[in-house]
Amino acid sequence: MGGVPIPAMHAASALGASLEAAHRALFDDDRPLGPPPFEIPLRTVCGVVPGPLPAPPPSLRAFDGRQARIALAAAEPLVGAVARAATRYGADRVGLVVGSSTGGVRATERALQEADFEPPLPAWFDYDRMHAMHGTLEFLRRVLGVRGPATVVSTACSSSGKALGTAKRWIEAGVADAVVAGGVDSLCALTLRGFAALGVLSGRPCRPFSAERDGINLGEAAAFVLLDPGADAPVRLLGVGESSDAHHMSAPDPSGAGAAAAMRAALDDAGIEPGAVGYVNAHGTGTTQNDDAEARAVVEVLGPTVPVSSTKAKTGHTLGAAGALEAVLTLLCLQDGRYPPSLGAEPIDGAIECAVARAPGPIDPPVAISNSFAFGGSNVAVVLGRAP
Amino acid sequence: MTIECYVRGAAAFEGDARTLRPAILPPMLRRRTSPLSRAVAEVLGRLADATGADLGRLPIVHATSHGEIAVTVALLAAVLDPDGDVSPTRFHNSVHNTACGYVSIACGNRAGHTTLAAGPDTAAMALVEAAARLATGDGDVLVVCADEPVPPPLPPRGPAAVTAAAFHLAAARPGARLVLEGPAAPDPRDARAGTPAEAAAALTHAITSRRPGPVVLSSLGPFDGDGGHVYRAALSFDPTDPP
Repeated sequence: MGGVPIPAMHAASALGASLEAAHRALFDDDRPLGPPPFEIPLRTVCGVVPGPLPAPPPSLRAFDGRQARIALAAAEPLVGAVARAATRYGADRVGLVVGSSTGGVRATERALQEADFEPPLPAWFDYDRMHAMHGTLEFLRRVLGVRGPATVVSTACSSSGKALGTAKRWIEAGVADAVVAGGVDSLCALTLRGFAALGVLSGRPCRPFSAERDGINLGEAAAFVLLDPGADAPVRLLGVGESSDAHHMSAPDPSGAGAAAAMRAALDDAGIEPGAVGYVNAHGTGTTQNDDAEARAVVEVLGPTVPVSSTKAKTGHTLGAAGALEAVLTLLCLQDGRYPPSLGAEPIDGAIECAVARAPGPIDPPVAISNSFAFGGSNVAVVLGRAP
Repeated sequence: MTIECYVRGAAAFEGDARTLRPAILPPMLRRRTSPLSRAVAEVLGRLADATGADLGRLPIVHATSHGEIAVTVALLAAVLDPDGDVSPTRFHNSVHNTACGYVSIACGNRAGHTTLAAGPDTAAMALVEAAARLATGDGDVLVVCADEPVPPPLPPRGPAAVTAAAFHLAAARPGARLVLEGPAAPDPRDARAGTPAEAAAALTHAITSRRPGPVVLSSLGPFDGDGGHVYRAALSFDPTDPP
């Protein structure tokens, strides 16, 4: 089996900061969604990372905020594995690629509110360290001890799926010998009210692929993997494929052509045939348009029988972190050999022709595709596998 | 890290982007775009004119340190007012990849784009990512780096005026040879631009004036006080290449 071994991974989401608990939760009927973690005039539920969240060490306190704490909860467990890679390859040969759509904009929201939009902003506020993409990046570089090439990928909801693609490419091109890749996004008023303005925010727990679905729930998360070609690990990143819809800024191409192109490119990158895929972890947001277009694309590329589920009914749509979070959840399922059911999908929409999973089943063959689609028509598909 | 590529051509814009009418954006799309997105479309259009790059087919590596920060600040005013009227268009125009989203729609480009942000290393990482795509893919790659001033009441960051620079990169000659190196210790003699978009614009000028030599790709940044590092590019020209 080709691809890049993944010797270490971690995630923090509404399912908690324990991989074992998160994996178990994918197979139960609980809906761990709750009210937003701040006052906002909206009726909705969110996937909130349960507290207490870890505080940054004193040397990194200037970066502190919800974004940094969620990032820390998912990144800290990788520190030992990153240090071993740095010893083997050299500190500046380990890279970092972080997907994020909003960075720490919640800190700016709080600062602007506190100052009533007039300078000076509060003394506690640090735009570069708390809000900007480079703040999230620098914080994670220092937490992880990464000295090599480092960047944020910010393509809205496909950010951290594309981050996995950049990381794999950097290794193949010799830019780095090992790369930490993943993503982080924290809940903020901007995305909650923005998706409400688009008319796609559900007031109830979301139900991807259901005939009764009425939109998305937002969530927050961080998830990271270490890609290390020299490591021995049972699970691997096999391929990443990207495409653009070239259709509309915020609505998917209803034909599913862009989604299908990303999946085909990912299979090409992995060097495998469609028949080698045993499970699809769908983007599956719960909007009518996304689920229709995605189901069409899955059937076109993989046929009507490969099992499909969305885990967003469990975590909410974690935006820039979704690609990495869902990659980690899918890797946990591959390790265990079973795919999870698509919670809330019953009764499944008759227009959805792909095989939405009503119950758990074996991932056979042990290869999965995880999809992420974004504003700007920015699509990515990630192929993951377990050594047989 | 050392990785190299060849530059078929480059284009830059610096100034008041509000009145730009990029040839590649149909009026209906142009009316919805910010000055920052227009500047991205403008330099990509000029680049395509100069090198014949196919904007409908080549993948685009887009890089912006602060992204659509003017749209974002305006949106936050509505978002933070319980009675505020939040514009859905403004919302989807606030994402970092807004500009290349519009360009992909305008040009029918389905090849895939990415948008990077790496603070002072934003231009460097865009070129590294593009060079990595050239090394692992099968065709030319476009790079566009752009930023706008960060508006008040946020602290002043970014260039003084909208700045954008675009590059048409290839895996082999013809073109200027660009060898990317870093991260390395900063040198007090390094001529560092104030922002990554200005660093990218400086590289554009070195390429179009066929001025060989080292170019510092990392701009000054907020974390320089903690030591920091720089990425550099060595630029060289083959006299037998057409200008």
